[in-house]
Amino acid sequence: MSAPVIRKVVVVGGGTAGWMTAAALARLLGRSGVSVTLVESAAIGTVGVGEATLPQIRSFNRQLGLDERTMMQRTAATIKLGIEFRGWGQEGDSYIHPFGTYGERIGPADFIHYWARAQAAGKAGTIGEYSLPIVAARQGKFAPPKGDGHHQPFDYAFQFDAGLYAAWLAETAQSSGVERREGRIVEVRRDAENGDIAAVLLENGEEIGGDLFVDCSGFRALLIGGALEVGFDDWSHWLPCNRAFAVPCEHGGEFGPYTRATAREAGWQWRIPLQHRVGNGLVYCDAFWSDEAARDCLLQHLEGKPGDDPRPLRFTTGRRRSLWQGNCVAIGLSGGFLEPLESTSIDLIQSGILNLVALFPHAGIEEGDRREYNRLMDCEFARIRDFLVLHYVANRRSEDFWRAMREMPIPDSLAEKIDDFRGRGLLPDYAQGLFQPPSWIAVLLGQGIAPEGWDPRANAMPEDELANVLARIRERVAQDVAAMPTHRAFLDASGARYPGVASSS
Amino acid sequence: MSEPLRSCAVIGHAVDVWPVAVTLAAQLPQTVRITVVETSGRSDEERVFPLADPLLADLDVTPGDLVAAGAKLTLGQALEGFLGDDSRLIAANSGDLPAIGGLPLHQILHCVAERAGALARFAEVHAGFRLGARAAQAGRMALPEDAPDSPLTMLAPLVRIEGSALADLFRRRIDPERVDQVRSARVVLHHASCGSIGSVSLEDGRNLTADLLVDLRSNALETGAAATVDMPVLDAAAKLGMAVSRGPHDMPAYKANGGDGQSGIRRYLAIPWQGNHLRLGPASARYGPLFGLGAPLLFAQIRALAGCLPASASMPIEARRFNQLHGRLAERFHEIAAAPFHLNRRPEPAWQALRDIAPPEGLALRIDRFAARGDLPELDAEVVDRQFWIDLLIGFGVVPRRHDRRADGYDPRQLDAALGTVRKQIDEALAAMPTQPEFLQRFQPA
Repeated sequence: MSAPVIRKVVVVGGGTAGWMTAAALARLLGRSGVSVTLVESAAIGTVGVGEATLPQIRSFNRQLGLDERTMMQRTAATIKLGIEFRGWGQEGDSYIHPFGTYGERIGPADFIHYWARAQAAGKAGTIGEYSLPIVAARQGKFAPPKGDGHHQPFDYAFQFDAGLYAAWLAETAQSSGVERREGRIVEVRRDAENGDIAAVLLENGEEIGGDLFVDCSGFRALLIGGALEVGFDDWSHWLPCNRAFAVPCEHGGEFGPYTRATAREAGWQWRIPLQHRVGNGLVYCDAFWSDEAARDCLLQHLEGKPGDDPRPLRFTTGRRRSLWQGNCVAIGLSGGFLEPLESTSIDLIQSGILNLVALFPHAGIEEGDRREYNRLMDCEFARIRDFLVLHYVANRRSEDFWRAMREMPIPDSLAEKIDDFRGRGLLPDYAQGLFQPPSWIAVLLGQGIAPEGWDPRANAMPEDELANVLARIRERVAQDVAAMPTHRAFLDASGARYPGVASSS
Repeated sequence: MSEPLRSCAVIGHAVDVWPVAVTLAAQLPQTVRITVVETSGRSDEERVFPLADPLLADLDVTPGDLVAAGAKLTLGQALEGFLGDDSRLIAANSGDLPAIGGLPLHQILHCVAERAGALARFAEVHAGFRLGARAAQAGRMALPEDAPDSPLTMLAPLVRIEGSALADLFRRRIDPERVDQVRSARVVLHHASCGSIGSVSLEDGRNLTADLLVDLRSNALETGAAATVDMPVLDAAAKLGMAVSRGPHDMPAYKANGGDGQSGIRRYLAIPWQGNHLRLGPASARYGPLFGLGAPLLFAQIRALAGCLPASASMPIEARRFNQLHGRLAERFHEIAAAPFHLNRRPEPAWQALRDIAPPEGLALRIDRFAARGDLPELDAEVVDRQFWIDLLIGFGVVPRRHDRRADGYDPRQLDAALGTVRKQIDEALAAMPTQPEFLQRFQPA
């Protein structure tokens, strides 16, 4: 006898991860006979960080049929062209990791090799001057990419209020048939035979059964950790920051279309400008900094009046050994945590959801589907981890925390990537992975790791000709940016303004 | 900073050395002297490779150049006897079939077939959508660019060309002043430290030295202490024998259980670039004749080499990167070569035993995922299109147990209609394609 068809999904937790999951499952699988129930308790707060996103959020919204302008209006979203890192190499420096590329094709070798050669000869500008999104971000400009082949291609993401995004998705999901149940879960009931989760029991006595459970309960990991006791791989020996404070504040002036991460004594501070406020937080390592000192540092560096008391968060970097166990899939913080240095929190949620949709079971859950889901997610977590560690290891700062970070052993896979770039300008080359070569260029160069060798094909162009070609590219980027409206003007003109925020001229 | 790269030597059979030499000549600075050592000249052995191989575009080799050099174009390769004595399956490279509702066509087809209780006919119905294979079988030919908005864009022609003609075609693309050419049937490599080659003795008594030595001699795979990766499925298959011939309409044909068992083990090098000694093509891997993978492997390696040309005479970083790329490429080709043997359905005990040998990991993953739900994992350094694998697996009887759940959300009548539309377009495109002789007329001088 074949196993019954999986029809009923229960999503536990109603934060960003929970409502993104519920909305996606309802929209993408609702017509296939899948029903979704989401359980949340108003008494349990959500973490609500991860306000900054990556460009992949755009395709996620498109797949769900969500209109971009409406989304911006509903979530007080601003445009994000990249992330600025301040003081990560040493105090006073700054670079932007853009959502786009550098330069253009000028010969058989990649642009970075021509730039490296010209830079070594003192005949090139900074790498950022050849990237349209970086120049636009620095000048507070934005216009959607033209995609016409005549302008440098780039992409963009959003900085939004994750609480408003979740609320909007909650509306969307419920209009697509998702049932919402309010109540605190007091017990997780397991199938006596196979150990699968059979139901969750609410405080009011209601029992909610399902065929498949998605754990979006955040750090509590109620199902995957609490009930199923799936172990956790601790990566804090590579990424030791384990605490944070988060606080919104009023705008202090013009906001740029980018997120900022500023290095501090034993951690770093984020700044995410939304239309109606600025999201701030400070991630730190408690072995090097007291809670009080970290909190004071955060408040001291706010650009406007705080909107609340700083909210403390505690976490351990790492991920569950199995993100899909039995009939339970962990999505969001219940599955793992990587500090939000590169805005990967929401992207990991998206990946978890889209992999689940692609592997959604029919009759019964096959071990092969679980294995494939875990393989794909493990690969994504590990590659993001290496990229995050890179930000820390190449610093030249003097504080104890930063000294410890550059002296710690790093994953072999990362050490090789650094050697390859320094020695010959070679960049990671893989089909799957969130961060592709331009991202590695941004952070490697930004952290002061410059190529000492380059592709010999770049030597074929006479030095003066190369300098002229680079100058033309730089000028073209500058001209294209000059023709763009300001970020604020774009928001006003595009109908993306959040109600309640006065438009500016 | 170490010394600049000043010299490069390329050693091997004429058909193998010239695509390497022409690439190096085009890519390396003029200050790098290139020496080509041909260990043998003419070869009647045929080479098979995709017309869309990126190396050809890199070197500005057009279909007209190839036809003028005597090449034939085909759209498929015939696998005969792998599913039983009288069976024939056409393997064809192909672009993706049109998606329906955002899902791959085979997922929709599976959904429709399952609802109609006709899963037993899934493979047969799917075969009707295989434009390349049907055209190859019917002796039709066209290029994808002939009709950009039609099913012809899925076509992926293969080139068949005699080895010597291919060697000549590449040789003519190099300025004779750019390279030194030497004929030497016998060469002896003198090893220095850490896998490097200190010098090469030629049969005329000369000694050759080079900062980078590219070795393409097929016997190089058997010599030296380099670590190798075994390919047990291919090893066992080699002993069973396979005949290579011309199939219908001149397409290459591979007949299982035909011919004598072949000697020589199947394996590839784990670390083909050590010190200044880089082994490519036949010196780095041996898969056997099936699918004619020798030329596509060499072309892919040449492109990988172009991406990590040595910045100086000290090249450990470039070697490490190339070795990583080679490892991925070698495994991808290994998976293709092993698939028909692992999935064979011949009744003889030896062929049954072949099915029990563990396939390469990537092939096992593809079969597992496809059998489960029609998924194909994307692995690093893929060397054929997804559709090639979908068609090959279905052709060998790997029918997914389930389809993408999203397909169930569509109205079956709409899906049926969409499939009918695609099939009609393919039938019409096929009917309008010229025959092979008609097609070749376009390359005749006016």
